[in-house]
Amino acid sequence: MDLDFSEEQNMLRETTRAICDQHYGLEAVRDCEENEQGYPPAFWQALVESGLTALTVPEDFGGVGLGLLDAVVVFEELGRTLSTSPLLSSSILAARAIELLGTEQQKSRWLPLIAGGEVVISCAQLEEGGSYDERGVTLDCFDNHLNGSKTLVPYACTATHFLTLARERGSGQIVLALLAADSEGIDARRQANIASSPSYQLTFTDAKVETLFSAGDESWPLWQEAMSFAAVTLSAQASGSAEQMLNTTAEYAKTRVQFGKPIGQFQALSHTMAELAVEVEAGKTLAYQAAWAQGAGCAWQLLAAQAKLHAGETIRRTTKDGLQIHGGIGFTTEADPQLYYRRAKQLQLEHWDAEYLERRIAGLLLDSDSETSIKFAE
Amino acid sequence: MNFEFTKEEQAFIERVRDFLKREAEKDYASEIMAPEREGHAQLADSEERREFCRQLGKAGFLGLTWPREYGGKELPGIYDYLVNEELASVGAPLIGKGVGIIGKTLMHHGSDKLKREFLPKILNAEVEFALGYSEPGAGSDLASMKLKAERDGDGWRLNGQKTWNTSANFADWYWLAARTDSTGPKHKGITLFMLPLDQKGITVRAIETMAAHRTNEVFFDDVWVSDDYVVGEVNKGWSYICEALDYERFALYTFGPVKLKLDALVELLKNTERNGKPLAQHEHVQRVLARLSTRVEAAKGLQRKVICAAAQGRVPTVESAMCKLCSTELGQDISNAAMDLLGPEALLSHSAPGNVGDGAWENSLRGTVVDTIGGGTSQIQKNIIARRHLQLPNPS
Repeated sequence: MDLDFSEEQNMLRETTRAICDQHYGLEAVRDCEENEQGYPPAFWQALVESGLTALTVPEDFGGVGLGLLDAVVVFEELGRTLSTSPLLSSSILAARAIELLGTEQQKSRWLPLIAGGEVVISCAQLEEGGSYDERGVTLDCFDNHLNGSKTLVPYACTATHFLTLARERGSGQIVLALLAADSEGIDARRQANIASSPSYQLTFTDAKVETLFSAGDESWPLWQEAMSFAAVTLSAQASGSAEQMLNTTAEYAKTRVQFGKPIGQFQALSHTMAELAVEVEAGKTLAYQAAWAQGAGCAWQLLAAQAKLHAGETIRRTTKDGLQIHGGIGFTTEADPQLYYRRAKQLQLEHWDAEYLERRIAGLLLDSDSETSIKFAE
Repeated sequence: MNFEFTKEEQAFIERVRDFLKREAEKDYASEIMAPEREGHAQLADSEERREFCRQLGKAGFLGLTWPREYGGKELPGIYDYLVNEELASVGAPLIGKGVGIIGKTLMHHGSDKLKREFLPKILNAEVEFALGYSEPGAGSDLASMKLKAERDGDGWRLNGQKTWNTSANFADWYWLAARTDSTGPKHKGITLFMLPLDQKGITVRAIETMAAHRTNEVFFDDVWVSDDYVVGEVNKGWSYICEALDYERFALYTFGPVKLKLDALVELLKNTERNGKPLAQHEHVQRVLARLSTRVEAAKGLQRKVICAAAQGRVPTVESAMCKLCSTELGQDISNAAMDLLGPEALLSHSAPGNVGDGAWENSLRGTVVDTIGGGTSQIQKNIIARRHLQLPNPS
């Protein structure tokens, strides 16, 4: 047993941190809340040039071929500085889904483009009602054309393509439809939201599919596997954000003086922060364990769901208590805590919310016939 | 990064399991392997328990991490942990303070006479110890202990009181901390002594608790100890006590008990019907289980951090504090959730007609209370994390 990262992984962390520091940072986060793109173009360029968009794409398809644990390292760092971008949607979720569902030919066509950053894929999953369940997917796919709408589609403004969960008319089977973002028949409406992130409602009217991915009955479980993969990276991102929020809060508590002493001396506050520290450490380790198990070929999807549930709760609690400890200043836009606070809820609800995760975890744990565990591959 | 045990460690785990399988077939197994028993109840004395410990010694599982010159096997510290994890997973008594803090402190600081007298007996499980640290006025603030040891001839005369000395009613020897100097700072006037418990002037009085677990208060009335039975140097006891805690980081916290509890709960919920279907199929039950299972995995991760840090030769102060805080609070929450999910019948005890789950959970709710108090309260763990991990200022 060895819980240390390798030298290469430590270097990967340094590289990511340097890119975030140089091209993103909390001032850029503020600027991005105001502009349409939602992330600095130079940041994305740096991700591409350093190979981070190719990180977990297999070498045979133009990627670097590293594993989920390596991605976890990257996403912890991204989370620390709130350096969000389409990286998760394109290089993690979409790439993984295509790898799992695609034919050799489809993989050869799309994965190298994703790895090289030449295409940026946004995943369109949720529909009205916001259900992560299979029955939540109703968007109609017939004769290679889509009709229906999706909600909470991230980065639709800069994506070159949409990977859209749809239901094949007739068979009723789940399919993944890839469309060029500039296809006719796609209407995108920006959705203002708590995290000021570029989120869109998409309406498809006879929009033409470029590539259709289908594995028959296996499409849904494979999509869930891709979601599990991405859930681990999102857990790491949330843990990175939570750790940074906690550190910022602890630093503030060391310098802010009330009643003649630094407020960090008051146990009402220091004990709260100690509890948060335990949750943050546990959350990080859970994500490591899930990522390691995935790479080692052990059962890992239960761990992935547990990691996401835990990380979501932890970022929520860390930002809530962290803001409280900052007092009034934390509430102001001039201070940083509010940036973390607003994104915390997004990290918690996106990419499997707690309601869905509880059912999924119970399903995997109890091996019951709940919808989440039916046809499950493990 | 690797969450797996090495091949050697896995082979060793198999050896322990084989040993336990053989022990499980013996007549006394039901007395020894009782997973439903809460941790501290396993300290209770019985002839069966002593025999089991002797078998552990015979099988070579005592002193695994001791140096060869003292009869040990010189294995890395993780091996003590591995044995304890297997023992915990069948509800058997764990390797105790003899092999741990007492044996190791003697090796580092004890006189040749004390080493000769006690180390072989410890390896053969021929001696039981009681720890005498806490006092009525010295709990979390342990260094403020007052039990007085005054110079008297070639030894010391002890007067005062100890409390929460759980094994004092059956142990053979005392491992006792007493105040030998009250003029300086409180942690610089404490000395460790060894003395037989059946000595004149020692009165052991039972303290019954709401759990199935007795502890004791012990009174000292002019009890004399020879200089030969002073451990290490006079007035250095506090540093030995703290150092000994570090020897124990490996073995102290097992992950087995919370995992065992959750597994037992899941089985029970699968096999207990409410309103026409097993409880495990009720949605609210599944949601609670999802959250508990997530916390169990989180606790496991924190426990792994302790052993990895210790394996690298670091003193895992923060890791241990996080692990202890997390797993003991979780143990209580599992018991509480179990009773909430099982409903009013969970109030019924083991002996009651109509009980559910053999009455184990009401017993557990009583028994786990002490887990967040003994060995450093949850609040003390939070102080450690706040100061050592977050570098927050010391409350003053």
